[in-house]
Amino acid sequence: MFFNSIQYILFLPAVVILFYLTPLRFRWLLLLAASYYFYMCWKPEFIVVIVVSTLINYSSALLMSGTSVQKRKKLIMISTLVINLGLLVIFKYLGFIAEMFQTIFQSDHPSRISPALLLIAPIGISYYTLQSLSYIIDVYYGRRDAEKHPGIFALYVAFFPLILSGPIERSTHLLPQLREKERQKLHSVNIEEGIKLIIFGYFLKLVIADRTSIYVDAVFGNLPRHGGITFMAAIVLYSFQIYTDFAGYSAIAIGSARLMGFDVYQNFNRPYFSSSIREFWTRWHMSLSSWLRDYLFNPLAFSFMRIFRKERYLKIISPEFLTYAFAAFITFFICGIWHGARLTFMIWGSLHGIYLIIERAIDRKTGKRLLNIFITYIMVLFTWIFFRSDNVHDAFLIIRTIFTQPGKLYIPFDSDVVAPVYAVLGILILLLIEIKREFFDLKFSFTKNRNEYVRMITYGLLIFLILYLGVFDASQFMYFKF
Amino acid sequence: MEEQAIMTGLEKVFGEVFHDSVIQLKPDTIVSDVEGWDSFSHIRLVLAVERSFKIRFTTQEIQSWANVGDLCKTILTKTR
Repeated sequence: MFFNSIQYILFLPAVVILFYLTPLRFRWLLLLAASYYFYMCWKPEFIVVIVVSTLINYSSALLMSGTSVQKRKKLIMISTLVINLGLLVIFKYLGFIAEMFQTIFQSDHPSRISPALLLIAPIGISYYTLQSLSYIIDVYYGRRDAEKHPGIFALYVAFFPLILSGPIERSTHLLPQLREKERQKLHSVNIEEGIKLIIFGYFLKLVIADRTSIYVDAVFGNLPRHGGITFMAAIVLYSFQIYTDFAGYSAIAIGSARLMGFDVYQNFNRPYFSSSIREFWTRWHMSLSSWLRDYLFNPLAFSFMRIFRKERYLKIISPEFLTYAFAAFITFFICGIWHGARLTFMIWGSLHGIYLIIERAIDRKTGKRLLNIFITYIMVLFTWIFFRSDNVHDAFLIIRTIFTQPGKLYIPFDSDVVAPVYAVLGILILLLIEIKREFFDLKFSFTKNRNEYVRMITYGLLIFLILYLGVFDASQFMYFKF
Repeated sequence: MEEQAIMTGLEKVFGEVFHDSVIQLKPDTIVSDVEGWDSFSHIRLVLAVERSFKIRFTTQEIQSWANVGDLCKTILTKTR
């Protein structure tokens, strides 16, 4: 059951109605049952992985809080991290590792990878693993107490709006909300805001992302046929496809949670209006970037700090910069791998790491915001070539073609021409909304207008656009596979 | 060292790291309250605090801070 399926359109209101009809003390049970049912609609057997992971993390946190011996606490924390990451590696990376070893050791005897190693990763495992890891680390550092209620903790791991692709929540933010009675009372503002977010999410996904994908897939599916100009158009469209696909998903997730009064982290904040790569990562996939900052970059940076500050011969480069450079590069390299076991993702992550280091070294500040926004967008665009390409060879073919064979712009024939036209129309509407929010104050707002007729007409128009321009084939969201 | 003296010392260090001479810290001051407090300046800040108070923090200590008050408490226990 995906967010853009008929089943979800029926499932969500049913859960929300039951939620408000159920006494407060039993709501966690309803939501947990609904979340497990939602997850099992995909592949029922993978619920076992979630339950096992939940039980391990729940017990480990209790064991940690029950001991005052620091060494023991550390041992429990490290073992739990290893188990969590082990599950992730087994399901997500084992095939890739086997393939890598095969390439290294038997390059002249191409044999098949054992199908047993090419497991299907349980959907959402990358997301709920990070959510569980943050809980274990927070309990270890004393940032929160271990959750004693197994049901509430299980709900924190499996909460249906977030289980498939986040936003990656934190135990310090979401867990307390699952207990707050006042928050879970029926408020019309939550229902209105939730519905608004869901409608906007569907607009992003069904009108822009799914329309854009038709052109992008046609170009990337037949690379040798196309020239540089077509590649440039496809990459620009892809930049909006990946943004609206994931931001659309996130808006539906946040809106679904909001219907029941829960406040979930924002995931996107008009990322293509960033003036630097540094800023981009505070506005793109924010729940992942802040997770990486707090649980990977910071511990790495403090470890490197211990090493580099002793190096007194480092006269030219400051220990602060060296620490930052190493920690940033490793963090973004891992960020690339997190998206999948592919060389193209590693290059994508590494490029962002390198960008951040260069940006810090030259301290780019021209003062011209629009120029900085443009430069940043072009830099991000370049990295999307690697992110979208099936392999490194294809990515370099695209880059080479852009510079050497411009060719003609590919325009699909007959009825196929409708898709990119609708996609561009959708992108223009989105850009208008974002330009208004980014550069002009919110004195006049269609969606937050005091006059309810203006609000209703705006959302009516958006629903009309979704129904008229949208694609209704319940295609998968792109970030499910990461 | 007294808590007030530590706060005054911290304000001086924050002022140098964030180029803001009138920075006013409270125990509940958090990252988002100080302009320019990002990942890089956090590294600079930790190193500058260590130099200024002539102490060394462990990773465990650094990771446990949620606000300036927590940082102050760690310095207090280390300078006693």
